[in-house]
Amino acid sequence: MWPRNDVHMDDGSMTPEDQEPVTDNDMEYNDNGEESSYSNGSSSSYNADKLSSSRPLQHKLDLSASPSRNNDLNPRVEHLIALFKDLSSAEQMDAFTRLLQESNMTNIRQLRAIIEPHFQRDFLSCLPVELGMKILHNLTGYDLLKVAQVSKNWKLISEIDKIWKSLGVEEFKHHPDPTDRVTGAWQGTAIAAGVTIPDHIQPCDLNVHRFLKLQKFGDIFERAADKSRYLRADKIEKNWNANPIMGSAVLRGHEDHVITCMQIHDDVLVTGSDDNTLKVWCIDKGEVMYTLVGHTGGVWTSQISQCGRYIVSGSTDRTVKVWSTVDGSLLHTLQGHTSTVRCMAMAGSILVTGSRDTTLRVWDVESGRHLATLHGHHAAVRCVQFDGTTVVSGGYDFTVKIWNAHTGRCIRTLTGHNNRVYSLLFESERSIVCSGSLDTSIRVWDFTRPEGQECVALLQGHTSLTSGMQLRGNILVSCNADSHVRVWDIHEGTCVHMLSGHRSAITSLQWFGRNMVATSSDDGTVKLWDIERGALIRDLVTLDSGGNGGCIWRLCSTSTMLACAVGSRNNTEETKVILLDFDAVYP
Amino acid sequence: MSAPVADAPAAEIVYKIISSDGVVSKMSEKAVQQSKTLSNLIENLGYTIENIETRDPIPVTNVNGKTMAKVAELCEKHKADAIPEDNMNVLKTLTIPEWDQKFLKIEDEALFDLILASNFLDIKGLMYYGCKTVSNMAKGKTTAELREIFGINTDEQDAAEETAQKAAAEVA
Repeated sequence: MWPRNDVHMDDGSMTPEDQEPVTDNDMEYNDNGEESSYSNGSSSSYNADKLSSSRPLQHKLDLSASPSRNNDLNPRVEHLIALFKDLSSAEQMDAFTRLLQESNMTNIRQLRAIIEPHFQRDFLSCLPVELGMKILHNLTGYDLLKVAQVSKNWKLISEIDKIWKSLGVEEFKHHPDPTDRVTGAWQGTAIAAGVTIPDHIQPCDLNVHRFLKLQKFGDIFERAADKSRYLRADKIEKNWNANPIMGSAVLRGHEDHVITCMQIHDDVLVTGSDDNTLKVWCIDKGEVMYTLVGHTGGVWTSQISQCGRYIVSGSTDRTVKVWSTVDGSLLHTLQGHTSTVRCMAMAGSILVTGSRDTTLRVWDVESGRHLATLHGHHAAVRCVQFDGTTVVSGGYDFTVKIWNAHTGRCIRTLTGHNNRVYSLLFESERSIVCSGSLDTSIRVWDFTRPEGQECVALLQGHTSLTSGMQLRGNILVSCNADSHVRVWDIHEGTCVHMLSGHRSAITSLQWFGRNMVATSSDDGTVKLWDIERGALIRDLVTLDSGGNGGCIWRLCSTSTMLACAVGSRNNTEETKVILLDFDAVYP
Repeated sequence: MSAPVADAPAAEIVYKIISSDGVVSKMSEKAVQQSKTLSNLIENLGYTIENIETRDPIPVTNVNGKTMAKVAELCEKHKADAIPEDNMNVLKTLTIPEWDQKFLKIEDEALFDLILASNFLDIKGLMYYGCKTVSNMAKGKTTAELREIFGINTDEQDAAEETAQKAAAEVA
């Protein structure tokens, strides 16, 4: 009985380890067309086999590697090993157990270090590449960066383009191409008497940075293209969050007047002013391209069309003008409003304008035709949103109205606010409207619900009018004249964070990246917040004249650049636009 | 009454599979269908309900008996399941069922063999669960942790070992 068991166990324990891994590996790697992969895999496979092989094989290898060591061999140890090899598997196990009991902890710890690798596998190096790709396919970009640092084999497999292309989050693919931003106004900086940009790079370092920036290597990558995009996106985010600010510029214009509105489309910045003009700037070149002259009253609202071909402006002269971004020429003057044009929204080439005359008008900016007039508000229309079909408007009559743009019919009137409505958000897909009012509250409406039951959340906590809001999913961020930013959950109707730090009214808000919000304020500062943690990241701009009239009227940004309109109501601060650069090149 | 009883056993085919080390495993007809390679092998070699009893076991020379036994166990468990779509996006949304999580909580060596076997035998479910299991071992880890988990030397350590081996060879 006993001897037969011995023989069986010996066979069982030896044969699979000796034969199976080599055979399988050879078969699998032969299926691949990639030679380099094969050789790498083969080499690692051999190492793995060595780890998993039995002791006698290791012993043999040691002897062949250095036969001269025979002189140093301890005869007592050699004798012990010879005896050990004669034992059956069960007897060897018994011997091991009793030897361990006779060993001190130092030796046992060393044994653990020797034994542990036998239970581990370098999967990525040993498996065929297509299986390795399946393993890496489940990891995040951040995990892939760690994987690339583990070993040469892991770096090679983690560079496969397909793996990076299939990352779940796609935000990093949407940044515009890298920019230079070294010409025109960028040649100087925005650091000047009265303007502080904390964390701005020192001038001597800036010159080095600009020189290096111009030494481009084209679009050739030494790694997966999407990995380059991922790394650049990561760098851009760090540029916003923590790194020194590597470039800034001042655009001077609209002297001694207020910049009332500002928009960005790709590389075009448009500023409107109560000096009756708009200016069209090229951001990357840091220069003005056109000054749009024609209005006979202050410009109070403007838009750039989604296609980028049209600039539309509304004015106290009661007209709406359509301009070309190609050459700055005036294409149409849209007449019909009988008072100041106060707000507008565009979808495609269809424009909706709201006015102090209590009406909204619908226009086609390509042909300049008037399509409809929406009557119903009893006081000035202050804000409007439009998705191409449905118009949402808020007014000084305390109401929010829902309209059909084609028929001109008012579908629904949302009542509940006790004072003027100053800001609106409309999310068409969910039929959600958010309205901010001088009554200090923000209301969330779902206008598909039965009449009178549309209000789904009443958000209270602010103490003045809400000047801006942005919504993503169920998270709403609002900025208010009470100097606070609040983060709300509209599903729960609760305030998640209150962000304090500004010392007077907040004028603008911009949410970009995953959790970054920038705000501008009458106190002369621009602040960057993390709305997930509910904390200030840092100040981006500080005016010395803040608190004495210097204020920042408007803020807007792209993913790599921030623009803020600076000025004052009492001539303590020159009117200008400050630009900050947060771009990065491909690594 | 007697007819259904008589038919039931006859309808159930059980295949014998002989592994590279001569160990024989058994798999039911439905379980075998989880493996495209085995299904094709059975069809091409002409195994049928009529001749299954008299023929030699189906030869699978690339998988050892221990691994094949585990493969058979998993295929029996999932024999009623649809075969997953061959699509990389499946991996992103895949959740490993609890039974399979326990099944795959094994030594790296055995898991490695299972993944290779799933590739050779074309068992999509096992391949996805196996690869996802290794992914989960790597998720959220630092580089040093990854080296420790998978038993990988740094390139410097490998270079040092190589140098030592060359020096030893020169002495010899």
